[in-house]
Amino acid sequence: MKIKLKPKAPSLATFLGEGPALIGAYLEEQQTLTAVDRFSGMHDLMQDGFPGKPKLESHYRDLLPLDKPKPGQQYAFEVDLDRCTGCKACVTACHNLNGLDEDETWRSVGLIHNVIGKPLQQTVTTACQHCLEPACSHGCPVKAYEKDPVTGIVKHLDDQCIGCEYCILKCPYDVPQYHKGKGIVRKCDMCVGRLEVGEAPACVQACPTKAIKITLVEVGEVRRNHANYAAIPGAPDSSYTLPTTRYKTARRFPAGMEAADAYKVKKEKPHYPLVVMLTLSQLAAGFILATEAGSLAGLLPLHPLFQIIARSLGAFLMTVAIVVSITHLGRPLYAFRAVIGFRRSWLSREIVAFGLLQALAAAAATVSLMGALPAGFLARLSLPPDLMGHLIDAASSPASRLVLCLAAVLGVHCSAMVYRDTPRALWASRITSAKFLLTAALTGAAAMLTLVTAWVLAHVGSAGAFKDLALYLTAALPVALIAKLGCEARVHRHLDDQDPTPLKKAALLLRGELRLANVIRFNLGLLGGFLMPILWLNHGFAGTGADLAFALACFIPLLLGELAERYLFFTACVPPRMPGA
Amino acid sequence: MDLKEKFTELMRQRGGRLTHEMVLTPGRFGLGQTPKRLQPDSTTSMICGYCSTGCSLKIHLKDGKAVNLTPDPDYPVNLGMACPKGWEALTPLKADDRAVTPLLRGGDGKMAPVDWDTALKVFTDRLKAIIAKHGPESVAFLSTGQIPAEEMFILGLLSKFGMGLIHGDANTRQCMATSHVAYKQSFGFDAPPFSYKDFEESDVLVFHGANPCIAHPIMWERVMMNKRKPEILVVDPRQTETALAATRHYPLQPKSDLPLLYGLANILIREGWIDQAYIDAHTTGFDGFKTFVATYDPEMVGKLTGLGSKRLMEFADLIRPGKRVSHWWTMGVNQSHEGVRTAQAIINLALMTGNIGKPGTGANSITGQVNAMGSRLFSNTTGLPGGRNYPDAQHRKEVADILGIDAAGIQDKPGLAYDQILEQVISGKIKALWVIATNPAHSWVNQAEFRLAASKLDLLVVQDMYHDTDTAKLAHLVLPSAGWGEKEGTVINSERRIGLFKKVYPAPGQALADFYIFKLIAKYWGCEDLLKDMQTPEQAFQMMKRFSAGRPCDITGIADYPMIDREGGIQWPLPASAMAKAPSSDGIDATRSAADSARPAVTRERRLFEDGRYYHPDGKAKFQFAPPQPIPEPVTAEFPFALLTGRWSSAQWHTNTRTGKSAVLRKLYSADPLVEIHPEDASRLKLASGDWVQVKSRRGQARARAAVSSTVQPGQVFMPMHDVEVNRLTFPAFDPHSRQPSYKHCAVRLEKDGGD
Repeated sequence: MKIKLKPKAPSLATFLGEGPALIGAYLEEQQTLTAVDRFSGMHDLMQDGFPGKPKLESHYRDLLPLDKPKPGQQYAFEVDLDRCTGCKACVTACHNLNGLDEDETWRSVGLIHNVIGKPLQQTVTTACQHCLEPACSHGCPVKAYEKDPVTGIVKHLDDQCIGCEYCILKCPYDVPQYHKGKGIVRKCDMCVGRLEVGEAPACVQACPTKAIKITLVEVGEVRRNHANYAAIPGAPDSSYTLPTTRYKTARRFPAGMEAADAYKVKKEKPHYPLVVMLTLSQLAAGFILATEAGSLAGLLPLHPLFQIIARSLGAFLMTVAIVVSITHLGRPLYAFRAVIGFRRSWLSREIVAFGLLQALAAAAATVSLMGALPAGFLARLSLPPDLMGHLIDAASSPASRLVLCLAAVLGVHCSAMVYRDTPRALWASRITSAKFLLTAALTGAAAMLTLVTAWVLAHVGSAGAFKDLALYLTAALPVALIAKLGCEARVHRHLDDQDPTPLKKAALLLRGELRLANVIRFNLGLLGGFLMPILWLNHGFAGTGADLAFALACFIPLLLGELAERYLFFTACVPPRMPGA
Repeated sequence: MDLKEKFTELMRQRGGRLTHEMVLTPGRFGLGQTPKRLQPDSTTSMICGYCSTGCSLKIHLKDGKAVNLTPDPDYPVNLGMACPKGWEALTPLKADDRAVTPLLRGGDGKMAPVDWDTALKVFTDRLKAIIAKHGPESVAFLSTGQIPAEEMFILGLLSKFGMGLIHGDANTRQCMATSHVAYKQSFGFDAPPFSYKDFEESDVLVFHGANPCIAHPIMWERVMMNKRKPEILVVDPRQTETALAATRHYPLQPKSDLPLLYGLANILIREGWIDQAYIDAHTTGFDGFKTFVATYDPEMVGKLTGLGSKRLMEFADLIRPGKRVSHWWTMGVNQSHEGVRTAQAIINLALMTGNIGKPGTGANSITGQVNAMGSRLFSNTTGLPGGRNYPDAQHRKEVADILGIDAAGIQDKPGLAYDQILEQVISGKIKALWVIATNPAHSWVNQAEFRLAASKLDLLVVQDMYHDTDTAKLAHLVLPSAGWGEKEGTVINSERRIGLFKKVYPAPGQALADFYIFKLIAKYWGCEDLLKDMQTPEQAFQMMKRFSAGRPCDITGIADYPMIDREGGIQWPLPASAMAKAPSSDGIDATRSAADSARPAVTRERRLFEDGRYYHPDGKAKFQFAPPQPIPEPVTAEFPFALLTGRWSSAQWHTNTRTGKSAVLRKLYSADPLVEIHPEDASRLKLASGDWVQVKSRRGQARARAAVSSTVQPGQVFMPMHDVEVNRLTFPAFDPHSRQPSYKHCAVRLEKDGGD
């Protein structure tokens, strides 16, 4: 390095003064990178003896299996807990050697400890478990995951991913990581490219104490003894995915050994678009159901205008729900791929079912609208008059109405199954189906009440005809609401659970961090679904403006209450996880 | 592609842009596969800039600029491994709070950017005015163990011999002063005797107040490479990660280590488990020591330490002569009100059992900062360069002769220590403070004292990479520094190995290497002639060599930077005489064959005292001892808990000004301050893990989340030092010999905090 001062500076110095000239010279020098010129030549020369051969090979040679997997075998991580001291180099090495983005990590290190009794603590490093039954893959609506038939590595196809994040909800080990900038998830692929050429995965290479290695496991053995894999106190139930990572230790963990964060309760991501999408789609389904079933039962006005309005509203709500759900995707342009996972993924089925419901509802609305158009207008479309007639008849036929009802129920059912088919205790029960159907019933009924009262108001004198309907629906609201709140309140029973289960944590969250939202939710529900219906019943249905006010006073708080409930549905749902810090 | 294929591809896309971004490719240069996006066109190695392990990192360069790094597989220290801080070393350079111009506090109290010319004029004019009015003792500097030795070295020359300052100290006072003094008094020179190879060659390793699993993970790697099935003993009140990985843990009562060590010495003597021949040939003062420790009977010591006499006997039996026993200590010993005597009590055990100067032995201080060892030898703060002493007239003359200055101008006693400097700031004697690459507003024991001092200063200059460290926020003038990776120089690690920093990344804005800042100050001060032979760091290194000549730390055998690079770091001493016969001591020559340049010319791992000769004039080591002193702030009914402090994770460094800038590292530690508490105490206080607690001492309070764990003993709590709150609590006690603060013990009480 040379400071270009003496030879060049005199003129500069006389011009600027000596101090500033020196500053200038140093600032310039500071920007000159010298390491390559001075040292790298030598370092690169020193590699001559090792063309392409990784210098760390001798460090990790005994940490890789000698052979490729034979049929019935697959690659797996093996962690020697007795060698892991918690330096966490594996996390950063994985980050650097795979070129991950700034805050992206594919490996994590947690802690388990024994609080009461003999002090013991143990760090636990975890990455993808490369499960035999990868839940991520089973749930993916676009088949962006594949389990390699030879190596058993669960690979993610980045370019296929639409960024729905469902795999994140599915994986009990918190493995897939959403990348906001790219709109996709990414995950550990066991450095498959490295393994192919005999190099060790980043984490294996980088562990100073050789605590991580790659082994071959017998698939049958894992199936039989899956409880021995990912077997760490506090770890998720292995039967869900059949994980393959083996944790070895010569110690015996005492019974009180648990995750250091076992008692940590923190609200989860709210997924606002999903909150809106679920509530709206259930409102739409409930409303469609009310329209078709009510018409079928002769309780609703069959006046063409009413039918057009009701059907258009249903189709419109469903469309909005779908649009909102698409905004949730990291790569919405590729949403159409979601049909290909139909055979396995409930998310794919939900998308198809709601797509179908939306198409049917829109078609029914369109046909109803066309039926009401002046004959001359239809003639100008030069459609065969017969066809139009048939279509209009078909659209209002009981069969069509039944199909629409079934499609609505199917859509909500698929929605519920999306969540029931996860390893999350708060979601994985029939209660979820009950909640979703009751949301549909409550919001759909209240919306229909509102429409009917508005209709009556606009057609003075016909109030009597719908008095019964209004009475039934209004009386049904408190019943449905109590059922709904009952479903929601069930989780509070887990408050006294001995162990820090996800349900206990959900209950703790609802009483703690989420208390305000929970109070608001219950009060909105009681207002719109209980207090207002009772007051209305007391007041009586007279077909006046007061009825419309009552209807809105039921509908709006109910809808807001359901939105709040769905917010809690996500934020209070504590997933199973490997132990954290 | 036909339509069908196109459709298939559209519906199920197997490749494309996103897949391509993650492709790995042979990285060449012996790297194995690296991300294609970051494929280097060249590589170079340099020492990591955090701790004193001194790992080498292989920097991946693209067009001369660092794009990635991996640990260096060829370096004898880390053998291809690194801890998370090392892996993430480049990230903090890119932080958006880097200081990019000098900043000056205006009349409105706000910091505003100024150019270097203005900043340097303000610096020199104001300091000169203060000195003119209040004398040379009214200005002091506080430096660091984080910058290269060349920078410390010219700072020491500039400040003391150019600007005429008397007082300057460094944050090494907070970590290494104790070892420095202990070695100096025991061996006659500050000389950690070991090589990391000793980790692998011991039969018994004893860690005193050290948690290498977390604090020095790569040293622990070397322990794990020990094939002798060693016994690993950990002496620590807390059941640390290392204690759990050890074969035996001695959870003594806090600050009972000195009685424990004397008790062990007594047992060894009583049982005849000593190496009398070694003691006679190579030590002095043993008889006095023998008499002194005779009163430390196992029953009494067993009770005092809480370990019981049986465990004491077991301990003594394990460290007696016959096996290779090595003792290792870190901050649990150093940061104590009687750290020097404690360290020396460890040294005494090694001396009396003859466990020193042989493979797998030694009384070994594991240093803290990357260049604390460079500071100890060349910083011209507590001692003159080359490990010389201010009071020694001969030493002053040697220094004056090398520099061509008047020996009479050199102060004849060391300047004030860190705590004394702050005391004088508070009392008004010191008016200006220049803080370089350290963050005392967070790290100083009883932090409030530093903050009070800062408020009394006429001028606080902070020279740092970041403009928003806790200390920089208090400054009147901020000078923007280039960081590790943006400048050159040498550092010395725990095993005395000199390694290189290199320039592989451009500094942001107008940030300058501290070396150039010092050079500019010399220019503006008008004393640039003093440094005229030191235009570059490497020229300063040549001057450091001259200062080392004939001293125990003689490095005259090191030709230049490329030689350090080629040899994989070089341990001191390496006198020119040792290299006379060596074949390849000339400078780097890229045209030499690869085989030639790959062959090290210097024995890679060397330990001291293999000949049993120490640095005292009589060639012997001295037994040093003194009665233990009471704990400065014992627990009371009002403050019933002993607060221990220390490291929490290997992903954090000191006050977190750098490590906190990496998103990945932030994931590896708790975002909230923590306080570890034993389950019994927690249940009494009705605390559960995660609850917020107020920890209060007589000096301040800190809010932290409870972490209930039986790794701490009842009556003790532990807090990580990386959170700024912690030093609001710590008690300002100091070792009388080293003036090192005692961070590891103060009295606190805990109160549940209602908030969330």
